[in-house]
Amino acid sequence: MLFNSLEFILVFLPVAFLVYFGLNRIRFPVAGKSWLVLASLVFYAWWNVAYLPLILLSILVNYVVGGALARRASGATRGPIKAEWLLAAGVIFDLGLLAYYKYADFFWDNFGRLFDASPVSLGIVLPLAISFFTFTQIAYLVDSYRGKAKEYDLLNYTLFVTFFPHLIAGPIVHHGEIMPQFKAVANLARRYRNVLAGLALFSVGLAKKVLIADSFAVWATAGFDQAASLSFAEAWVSSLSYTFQIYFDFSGYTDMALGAALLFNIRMPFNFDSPYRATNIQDFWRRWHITLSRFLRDYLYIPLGGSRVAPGRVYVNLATTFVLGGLWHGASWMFVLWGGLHGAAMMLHRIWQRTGLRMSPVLAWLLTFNFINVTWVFFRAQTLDDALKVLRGMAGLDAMGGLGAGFAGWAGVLDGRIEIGAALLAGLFIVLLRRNSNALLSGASLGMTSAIAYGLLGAASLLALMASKYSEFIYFNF
Amino acid sequence: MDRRARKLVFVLILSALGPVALLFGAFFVYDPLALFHPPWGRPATVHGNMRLHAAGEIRHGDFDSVILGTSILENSSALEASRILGGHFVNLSISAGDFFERGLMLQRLLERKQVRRVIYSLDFIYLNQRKGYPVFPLPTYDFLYDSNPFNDIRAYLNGHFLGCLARWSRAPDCVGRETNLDRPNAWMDEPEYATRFGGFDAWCRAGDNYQIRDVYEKVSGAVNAIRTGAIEAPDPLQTARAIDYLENNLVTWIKEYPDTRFDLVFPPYSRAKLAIWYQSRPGDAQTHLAVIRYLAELSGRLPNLHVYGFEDQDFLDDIARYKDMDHFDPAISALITRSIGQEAHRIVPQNVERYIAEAERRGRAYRLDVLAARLAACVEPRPGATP
Repeated sequence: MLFNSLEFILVFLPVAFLVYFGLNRIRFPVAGKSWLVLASLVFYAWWNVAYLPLILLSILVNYVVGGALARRASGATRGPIKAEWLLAAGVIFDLGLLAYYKYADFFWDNFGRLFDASPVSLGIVLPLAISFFTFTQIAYLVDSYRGKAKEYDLLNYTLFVTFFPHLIAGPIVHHGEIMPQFKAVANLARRYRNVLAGLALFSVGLAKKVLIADSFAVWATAGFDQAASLSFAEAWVSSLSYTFQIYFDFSGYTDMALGAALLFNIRMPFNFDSPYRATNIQDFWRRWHITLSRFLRDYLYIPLGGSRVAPGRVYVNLATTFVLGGLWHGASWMFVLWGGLHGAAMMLHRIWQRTGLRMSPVLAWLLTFNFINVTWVFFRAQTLDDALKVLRGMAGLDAMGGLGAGFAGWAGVLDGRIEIGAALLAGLFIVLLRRNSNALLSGASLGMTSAIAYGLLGAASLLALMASKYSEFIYFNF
Repeated sequence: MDRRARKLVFVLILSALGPVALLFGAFFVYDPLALFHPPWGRPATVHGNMRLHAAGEIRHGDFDSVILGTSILENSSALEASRILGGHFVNLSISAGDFFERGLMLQRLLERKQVRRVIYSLDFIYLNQRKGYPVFPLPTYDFLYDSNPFNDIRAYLNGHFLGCLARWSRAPDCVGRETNLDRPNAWMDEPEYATRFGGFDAWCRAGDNYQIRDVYEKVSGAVNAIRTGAIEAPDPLQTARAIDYLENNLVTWIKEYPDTRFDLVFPPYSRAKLAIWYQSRPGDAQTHLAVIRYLAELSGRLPNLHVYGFEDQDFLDDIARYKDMDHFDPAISALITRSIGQEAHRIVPQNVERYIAEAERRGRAYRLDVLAARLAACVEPRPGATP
């Protein structure tokens, strides 16, 4: 089920909310949690019920391993198997599932090509959300090993993993961030301030997705997928459209997730903090997909040695982290390339920092934004040829496309439409100058005018949603 | 504090759902396509876009039989069909409709209504297995034929119908014309088309018409291909794909609804069109003949399936009966209906090979080069087009 679907907004979410608090109200909190688990599993199975056993198996194995690790960490038991081995077994199980379902086809295909055999697909379907629930559970295992998490109740653990607002596309949460909130007695009752902020945040997220991201998607798709060659202006329109599309799509999704969770009095961590305002690449990764950056930093970069090793080794650690981070997004060399470019940028940034030189903030922003914009081309393009097509156009090197700004010919959607320029400027204005939606979660108080404004924004988004065809979130594919 | 927040929650929800509910309520009452109910406070009308109109007609219309063709059957009279074949026919043919589009309509029609009879044209689109016509993109109407009634409102959520609602307009472009469903989208009397019937001179007079230019380019292209030997080799999978396409979008409903009689008509295209297949497009010709064979054989097993063809008739050679290579005059439309009534021109397992042999013989004997030369004398080629 998608957050931007009528069945979710008008049926699933209200029913889940009313029944949960109804059960809590008559002093059945366990039934309330069970209800949320059931609702979350229905939410997941709506996509394909066949993959329900997979997520349940994954939960069961991680619950057992995590419990054993927590007991060892607290000194309650020692057991015949060392904690390190137990942790390794759990992580291998999780990565094994991910490797099979997400990467087996990719490696098999590349193996075939290496030996000049015709590529044969294994036909493995990527289960929805596997990248997210795998990382959530790996974090849980490591936290249990370190004594930062312990969960001996299967229902609680299942709720932690499956709680529908974060299940499909994050944020990637830690046990310690979520479960204490479910245990707090004060959170068992409806809290209208949270409901108000949650609904406002959900409206903002829905608007970002259906009013903004889906509009940019049309122009991005036309440039990346339909055009044979692009003029200078067309190529920049295409790449900038995707730059805005992916931000509004994913941050819109996250706003909806955070808003939906807040209805249940659960505050999830921010995932975005105006990333396109970043003035260097490190700053960008502190603002973009924050919970993934945090995971990669805490569970990959730092265990590799982080920055506390020799400079050469730091660069290797950075490259490894970003290449694997790129690969996490999907089994494709394009994601590897994208991750590698960001890793290289991080290395350059570190070298720049060591020189002690300063750059003007405007120039720094311009460099950072354009680097991000250019690297999104690799992220979006299906093939290297598609990426080069766009990049050639952006550099004004495409002989067929030329330098003209007429939007002529290649796609009816761009044919002489001035509103594209206006939309790009509006997008830039929003991402650079508007207050971001995190303020709503931070407890900014809402008055009558803003309640009406958020309501009307929700109304406009609902109508746009009904007027449009099904549109998936980009991060559902990861 | 919580009381104030509670009030604001109520205000926010009302602000979000109130305008949506108001708009839906207004569209429910106005309902220009009669999707939700028969017209209220206005006479019944037929919208020019049959892809949109037919959805409401299927739900609320009073009929038991249907002509479900393309532009090929838009001139066929439903009243005449009712008189000759019995029952109550309506003509829901869609311009440039393919089998996939009509499959959507057919499924919804058969599920909702007890349908006695369906007259259906077997247009050549099985050759390319098209799914959706770009001029009427599928996403703009396919949801009207799914099983979810709640998404039908999407048909109205666009600038056009919002404008119509704002004016509560009864203009034809909003609610359609006050006409019946005899042949609501008939084109035979439109001067642009009607003037092209009557003979080669009529085609020549319309030499700058895009359809006549298209005839010229196709005929001369075929002649060139034959002369130079540049004839495309058949795609070995085309026939299988065509039959699969027919199975999925038509035959499945014939099998599932044995009480509904299906009269499938191979359109009597001009001989020139068929000759292009037989002489210069062997893949298309093979697939066309395989489809004839397949449906004829099937009609021997399915009593509710009747198939009609006219390629063994002389009138296909007479371009005076055609406004272009595909579309014929109203008398041929009437002939088709009469043939169905008389069970004439049926293709059945017993005569299919004889029919195919005759169709092929006539198609191969047709002088495309003569037609090309005559067209060349009066049709200005498009700039850049291959003569």
